[in-house]
Amino acid sequence: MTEFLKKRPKTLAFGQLIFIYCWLSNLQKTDSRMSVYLLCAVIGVLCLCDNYRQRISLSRRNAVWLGIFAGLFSFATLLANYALFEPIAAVLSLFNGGCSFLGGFSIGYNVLLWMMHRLPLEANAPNRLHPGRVFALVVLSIGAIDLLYLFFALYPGVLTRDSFSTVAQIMGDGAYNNTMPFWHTVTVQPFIRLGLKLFGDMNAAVALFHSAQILFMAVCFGTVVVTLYQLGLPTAALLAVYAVYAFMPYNIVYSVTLWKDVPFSGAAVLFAVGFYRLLKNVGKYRWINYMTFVVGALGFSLWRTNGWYAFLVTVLVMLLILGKKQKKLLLIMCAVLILCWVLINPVLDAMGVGGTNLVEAFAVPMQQVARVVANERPLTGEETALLSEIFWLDKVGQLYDPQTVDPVKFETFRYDKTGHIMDNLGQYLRLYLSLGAKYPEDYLKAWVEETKGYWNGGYEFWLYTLNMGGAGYGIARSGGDNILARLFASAFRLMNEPEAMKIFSSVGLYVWGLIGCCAINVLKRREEFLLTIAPLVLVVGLWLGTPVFCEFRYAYPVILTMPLILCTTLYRTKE
Amino acid sequence: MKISVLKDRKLRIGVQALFIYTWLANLVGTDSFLTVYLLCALTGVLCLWDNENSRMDLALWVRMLIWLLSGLFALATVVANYPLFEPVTALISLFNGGCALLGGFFVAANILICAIRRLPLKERQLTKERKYAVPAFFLFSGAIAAVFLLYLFTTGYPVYLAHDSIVSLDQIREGVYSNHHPYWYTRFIELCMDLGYLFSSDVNVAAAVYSGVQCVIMAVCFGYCLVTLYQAGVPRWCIAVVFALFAFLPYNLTYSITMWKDTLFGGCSLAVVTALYRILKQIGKCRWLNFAVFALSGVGFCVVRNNGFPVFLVWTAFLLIFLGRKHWKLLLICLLVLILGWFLTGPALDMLDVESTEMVEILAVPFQQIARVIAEDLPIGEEDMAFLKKVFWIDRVKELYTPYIVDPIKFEAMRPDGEVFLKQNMGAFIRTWARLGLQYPGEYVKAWVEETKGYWNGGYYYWIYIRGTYPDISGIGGFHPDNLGKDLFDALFRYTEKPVILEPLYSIGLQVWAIISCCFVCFAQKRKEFLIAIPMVVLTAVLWVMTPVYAEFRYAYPMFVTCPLILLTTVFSGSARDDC
Repeated sequence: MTEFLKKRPKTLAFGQLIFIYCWLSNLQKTDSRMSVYLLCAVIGVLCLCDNYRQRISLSRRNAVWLGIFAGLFSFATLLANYALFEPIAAVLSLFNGGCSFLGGFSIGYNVLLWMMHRLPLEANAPNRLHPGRVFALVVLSIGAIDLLYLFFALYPGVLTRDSFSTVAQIMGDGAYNNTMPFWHTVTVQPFIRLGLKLFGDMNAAVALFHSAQILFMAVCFGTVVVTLYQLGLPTAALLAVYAVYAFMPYNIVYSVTLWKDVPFSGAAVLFAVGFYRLLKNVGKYRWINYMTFVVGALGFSLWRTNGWYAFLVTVLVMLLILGKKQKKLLLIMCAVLILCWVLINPVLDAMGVGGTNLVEAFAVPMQQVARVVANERPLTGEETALLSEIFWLDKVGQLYDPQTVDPVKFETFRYDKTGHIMDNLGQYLRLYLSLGAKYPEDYLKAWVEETKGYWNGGYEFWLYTLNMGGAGYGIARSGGDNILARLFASAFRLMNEPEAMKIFSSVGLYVWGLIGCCAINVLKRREEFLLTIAPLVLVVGLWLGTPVFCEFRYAYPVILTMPLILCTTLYRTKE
Repeated sequence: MKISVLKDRKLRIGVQALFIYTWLANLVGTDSFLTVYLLCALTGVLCLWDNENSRMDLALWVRMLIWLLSGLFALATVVANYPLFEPVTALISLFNGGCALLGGFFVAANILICAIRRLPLKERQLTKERKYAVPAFFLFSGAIAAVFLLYLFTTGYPVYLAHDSIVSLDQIREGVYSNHHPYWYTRFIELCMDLGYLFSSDVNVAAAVYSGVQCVIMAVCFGYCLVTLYQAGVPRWCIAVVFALFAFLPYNLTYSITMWKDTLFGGCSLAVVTALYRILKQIGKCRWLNFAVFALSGVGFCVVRNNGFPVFLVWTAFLLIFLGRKHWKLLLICLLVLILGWFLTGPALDMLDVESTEMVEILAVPFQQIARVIAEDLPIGEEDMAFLKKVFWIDRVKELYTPYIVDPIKFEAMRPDGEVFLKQNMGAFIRTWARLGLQYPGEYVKAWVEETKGYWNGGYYYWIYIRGTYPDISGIGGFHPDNLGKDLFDALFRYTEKPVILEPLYSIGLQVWAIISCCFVCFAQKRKEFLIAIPMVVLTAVLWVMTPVYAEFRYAYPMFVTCPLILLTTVFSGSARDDC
């Protein structure tokens, strides 16, 4: 069969085209964003045409790897849309599923093959002699846009329930907890206190913090743009990256939102850029690169509860891959890792800061068990007794929401029994595994529903909020009724509402891009793949433990680092 | 696509692909078949890539026509989905609409350019390889007839009846005929049933004879088309696909045993178009046979459906203009067919005292436009309102207006004497209609779009066929014991109707786009084949102007049966190109 098709490239190409059409047709009733699939299909067809023309041949090893990645991509799109292919055992479903799988495979394979063959393009723009000016221009312009938004449209910024919890700790009697990361609270604190001292107004204090955050984010974005500038990227690509950072509504709103996720994502960018600059010796002043890298690594480890763990995995992977190369870099990473461990363990213990509740990490298992209960699967007496110890079982069926663990966690889980789980960890682990063995389909579906936002296309889910998540401490929204605010509102509508623009806020698409870039760089043995490790670790973390199926802010670090990863995969500086 | 501002090939491809993506993305919420847009877009991207890799200079008039058709295609897809772009004046709607228009334009333009550049694919010698025309004809026709008859006797015995068929049967029973359902078609039913009564007094047997005769006629028409493709040198796998479409698609199976004028009209359309192609390309040894088939099916085309004659008239005009004296025999036959058609549908009916068609049948679109204005409670001048009150029950119009079908207005909101009044005051009606149109052009456009979009955009979910006999009214009852054949046909129907990937096979709009494109491509290449698409284009245009239902499959059935021939004769050419 393979030989038959090899001799008939035209038949093979047309066959692939038909399967791509089948894939798209069968996904048209998807609950995710169709525009993402459309984009993939259009790109897939273009790559297919180019590959057909070039008649590219690959080594067996590379072909196998591309096949694996393409198969995973295709499988992800089908698995996330399993409802469209039910009942799975029906002939028609198998036919549709089979054709769709081949279509998705063709897209994935052709795009990756094209990337393998064509990338990296030569970045050949001479006279990139003014990085300082470009950096200043980018930082100032993005800062100006965001400050205008803060002071004229959304003063003093956005504070959600989480933000009010942070403010409460700052304004309280010194009783901190680590549910909202302590080190993020500590970072916010001086700005709030200084603001209160200077202006005597809580709103001004919050605005002062937001101004600082705007500046920080602008610096993060500026470092990416200037690094790409120094690499010699075409001006159009630079402008596109700049436009995404400067004008995408979520970037503007997030820069004025008091959330740990915002500086954490900025730190992820700094960490990636610093690492890349050190790796490729970009820029004259190496100490600046080191500083960027260290600040990024510190923020990445401290500003989100799971940051340190992600950093730990990243360091371990880097150690494995780099070995004796880049010794200095690895040493710094280890130092940061140890320092941060001290800061978030002994130091917090010494300060009496309460830790996070362990159940926060059990979102997926909770959902899997809840689905089994909600579907009224038969349970043995022992299983029921064990579950009844930690859940209000009668409420689970009613409250189970496939896309978020919150109802199960907050309304059916007995928080007072957390210790009971720890005391009987083995028993509960066995219970979890035995239920999984009995009802694998429920477990799989629960996992798909709970995590699909981070590995498939994109979903309609809130990106940001413009509302205040509470009141108190004299914090109140003011202004916002002026021409500038209306202009921002119109611009946001124009960038958020068109179906074609929704790809920019589709988490799954970014994740596919990330994995694709990683795969290509690995197969082409380019060091650039190291940039993808930290974001990938974060993504895998979401696959295993996200409490909500498609929370944009959780994936924000990936969204912000993607321009750098994509551009460095697409281009390399001409030797 | 020559865009001088975009010199860079990659950039050109990128920009056009981006707009095509935008077009698709904006149409995601459509109420029509998304699969049709997907198919067009993927083909468009493929052609875009091909065009950019090997360019061809086209004559100015061809370029202008491509732009015009592409613009119309883009406009059709956007206008038919106008609710997705409302409010039309909002900045975001304008942005989305503009991008979608450009995307649609690039899709169509690239497909047309690629088709003009690449087609026809192969030019084969007719006689060397394909010399078994007669056995092939009998094989194709026989096989299709066998499938149809098997369907009849296992699943659909003795016939499928629609409301229209029962009216025809009533006319036969009572002996009082009207031309509302074409008189000659009613007499054809009568003839077949009389033949049945020779064998048995059972009405079911008589109806089954009609079905059997129709099955054979349709099979012969399909076989005639297939053997023509065979003789024209079309690749065998294409012929196999067309054979499968003719023999196994549910609508062909059900229509072959449905007592409808539309089935026979479809058969006549296919036969007459095929015959013309054979004449033009000089296919077959017996040229007189081609002429005979052309004449016979031409007469059928004129008398089996009421709009057949005017369409044939327009077609003849085209033939006269583009063929010239060289084809005098053909033109003479056209003239004879026209005369006979005119006689049979005019003077002969008068002589036989057959009641003619109601005039309101052709006023579906104006009725809907006026009804929409009334239903939307828009202010209407006193004089106009007074006139309309003499034609319609205004309150009922408001209540009954259904955007996609005129029947509620025509049958339930019109006063009993409204039609007579209309006939007597046609001038006043036209003036009222025009005045309201000038006052509310937006509503008129929307009413027209809703009433006709099925025939010029994508495809829509609407009923396609009937599988029943109304036994209480017709006295004809189906008796279908469970049997293997029935199970097999049920499975066939399930597997050919349910997969969304097969939706394009049921899409009227796609067939229309394909026929118009083929017609244009042949015309641009100065190939005579474009003439065989003309009657279908005219038929479609008639539907755009006066259809009573927005996506009635049977009205478009001739397009479905002729599309494979038109498409394949555009893609493949039996002989070298010759100028008109």
